[in-house]
Amino acid sequence: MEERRYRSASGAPIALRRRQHSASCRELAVRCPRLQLRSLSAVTSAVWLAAYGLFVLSENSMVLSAAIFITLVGLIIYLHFVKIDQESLLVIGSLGIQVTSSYASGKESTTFIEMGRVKDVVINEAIHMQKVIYYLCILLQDPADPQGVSEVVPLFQSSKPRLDCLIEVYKSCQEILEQRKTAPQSSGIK
Amino acid sequence: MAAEGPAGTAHSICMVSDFFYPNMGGVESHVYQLSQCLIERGHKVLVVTHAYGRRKGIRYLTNGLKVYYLPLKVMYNQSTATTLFHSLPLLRYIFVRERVTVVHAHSSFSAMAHDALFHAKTMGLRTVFTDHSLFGFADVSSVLTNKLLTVSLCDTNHIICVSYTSKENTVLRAALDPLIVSVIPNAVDPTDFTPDPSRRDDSTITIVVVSRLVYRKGIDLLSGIIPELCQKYPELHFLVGGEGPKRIILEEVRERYQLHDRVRLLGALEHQDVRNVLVQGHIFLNTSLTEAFCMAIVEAASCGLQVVSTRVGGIPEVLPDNLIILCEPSVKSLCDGLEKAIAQLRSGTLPSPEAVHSKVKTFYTWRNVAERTEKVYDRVADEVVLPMDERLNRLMSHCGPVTGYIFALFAVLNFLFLTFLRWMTPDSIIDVAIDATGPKGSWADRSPLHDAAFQGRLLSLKTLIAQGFDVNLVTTDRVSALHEACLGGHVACAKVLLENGAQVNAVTIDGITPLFNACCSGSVACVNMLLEFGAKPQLRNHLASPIHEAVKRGHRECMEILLAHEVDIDQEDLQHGTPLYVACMYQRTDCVKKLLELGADVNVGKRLDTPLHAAARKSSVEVVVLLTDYGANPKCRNAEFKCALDLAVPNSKMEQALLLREGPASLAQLCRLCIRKHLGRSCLYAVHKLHLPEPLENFLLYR
Repeated sequence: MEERRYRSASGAPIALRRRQHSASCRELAVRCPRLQLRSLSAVTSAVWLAAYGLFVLSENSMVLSAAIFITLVGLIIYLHFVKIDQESLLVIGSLGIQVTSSYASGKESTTFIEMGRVKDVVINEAIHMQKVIYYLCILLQDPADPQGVSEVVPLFQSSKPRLDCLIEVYKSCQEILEQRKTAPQSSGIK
Repeated sequence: MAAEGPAGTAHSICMVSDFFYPNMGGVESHVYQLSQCLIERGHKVLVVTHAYGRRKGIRYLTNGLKVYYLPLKVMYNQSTATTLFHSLPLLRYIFVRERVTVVHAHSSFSAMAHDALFHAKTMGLRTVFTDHSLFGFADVSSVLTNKLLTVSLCDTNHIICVSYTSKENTVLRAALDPLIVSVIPNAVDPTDFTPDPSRRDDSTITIVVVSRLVYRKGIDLLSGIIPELCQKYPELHFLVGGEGPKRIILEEVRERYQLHDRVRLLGALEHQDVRNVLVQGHIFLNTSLTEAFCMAIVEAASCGLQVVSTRVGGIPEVLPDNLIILCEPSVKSLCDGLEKAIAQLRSGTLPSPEAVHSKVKTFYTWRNVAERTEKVYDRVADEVVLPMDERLNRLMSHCGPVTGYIFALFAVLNFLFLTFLRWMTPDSIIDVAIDATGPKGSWADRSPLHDAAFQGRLLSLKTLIAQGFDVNLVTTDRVSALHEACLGGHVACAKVLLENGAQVNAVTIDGITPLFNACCSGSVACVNMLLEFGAKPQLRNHLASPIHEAVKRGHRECMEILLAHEVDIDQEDLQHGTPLYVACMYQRTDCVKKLLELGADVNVGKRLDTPLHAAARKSSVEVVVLLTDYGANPKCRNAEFKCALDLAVPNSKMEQALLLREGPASLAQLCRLCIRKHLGRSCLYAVHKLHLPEPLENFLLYR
């Protein structure tokens, strides 16, 4: 297992972890920085200050309790549905690709794509918010038309690594996909 | 493509305009052609425009020309809204990641172009602006646009106009120093506009008009000219291509004077169809009321037509006097001009279309335009961009007291916004985009082996192989050297590669095999040799089919060889249909003939479309006659529930030919079809076994 440090498109530091299980099985995980106590306290105090201002104006103590309630619920929702700590990619040559994102609360969501449906893994460019970024995506084969692409599955959507990191992941994926491609062809000729 | 290196340094140019493909027009093709020629000259070029419908994001065109379709809201007439600020984050990101050195904006109607100029100046980049249109000075809207133009251009490094009239106009409107304004006219691709005198009908005189049917193009004048001349000359016909709000006027005129058979309105034309319309005429009429540089008359002259035009804007500069008759923009003057042209035509004193074409084709080429534009870039690169304080001074002194101060304030705000953005995402965090432009871009990872194979340099190919180059080396899109050799039609090279173990059935990313490429180049020897080395003549359904390609390009011999190797003659490709259908689509008469002789099914095309539909659509009478002789059913209806007759152009020879074959066929024809049906596909050989008298046999085989 090896770990390397990169930056995300917005400049935050991220880490790419690579684990080689066997020749045709590889796990790649991008880890985002954890939730900082500093930003947490900054947001909380901002909300509470605003609530206190309202309280002074309206002289209704409901505002204060609502503020506490909102901060708590907001934090839970943020940790459980928004903040992703780690996104990982498990590529198994003969089986498929498994994409896992782990949320800060410990919740995990996993999707699995069969190797038969994977057409290729590519790096693409896109306009995202007010930026133009590179991203890695899996192209799914269209069952009706073998040349066509039915769907594009973007990877590492929350961490958005920069190009140097993406190239690293891309190369690892291609090495395994390459094995898959050459294997059936050579047997087909013989 | 001879990529001579640029004289100075290679620039990284960003073309910005609201108008680009898929929108069609003069500015769009100017931007595209200029970009392509600049890429050829070794510069890096990218185009930035706004999103068109579902076309947004980043696309690549020919030679790796990168196009950014930005998701900005369109306000009016394909022009984006301008707030001067909202586009800064994205444009700045693009300028930084592409390492742009020169920002080249096009068209004064394009709000995005002005925005980009404004931001580029704030960022300290060099700016060039091309003006494509003329304006008035009188009404309120022109006064306002002129004011905006003054602001936008007063600190732009260089301005390019398309004609001297346009330069005069721009210099006056924007109160510029004439020294920073250059004139570079537009160009026409002369190979697209070649004359073809056989397509005209010399028993009549046809006047062609191709223009948008709008007020600016003088369609009201046209509606006055048509009835007057039609009364005077009974053999005169009008052919009008284009669409627009003024079409209704022409339709009224046609109705009132009962000219349905003599005035044809073709509706909107695709650019590639323009030539086919032009070559049908003798005289080209342009009635524009204002025009900076008229592309249409150059295209018409290139097709060998006599041009009659109004004397407005930059038109008098465009063509030499002996190729154009200039008139005042009035019905009377234009009629006189047309009568003069008709008289010349009748007396035969006009130069021949070929002579005119060979003269015109040297006038305006895109390479020339690119060369001259490059000089402007070189000049601009040596200039300094105004620093902020001087820019503010210029704005305030140049643009009047009120506007000047307002825009100086905007410039300051823009600078503050930029500083904020630089603090949020520093330039160092923005990834440098991978450069894919040009033949040396990252798309082109061809090895020397590919080049040698493509150019057919046998000796160097052998040397390279001897040096240990892998013959099966492929590019990113999996093109092998064998593919290249076959595309170039170099048998000897292909043979060397095959003998050294090149894979004969290698497939590229686009599903193309060497055999397909050989059929594309039409090299019979290549096809034969590939088949000898075991190439599969018929591929799985999703791969590009060689026989369809051979038919499409009209390489009949390649097609015959493939058929002799047991390719299914009625193989229906999802994209192209059957070979017979393709042959009809591309009007390859000898292929159609051969396919029918060899027993192709005459009624199978592409899904419900039969070959007859294709032939009718392409108005090739000869093919239709062939098809019906072989028993094509004219009553077959396609997916739109139309039969072939519905697709033919009204009152054409095509329609007559189809109408002739409406009723029941003759008895002899019916017998022949019946016998052939019973004999099946091998008819050609089976007929001999019947031992019929020779005339009968010949009749059955259509000899």
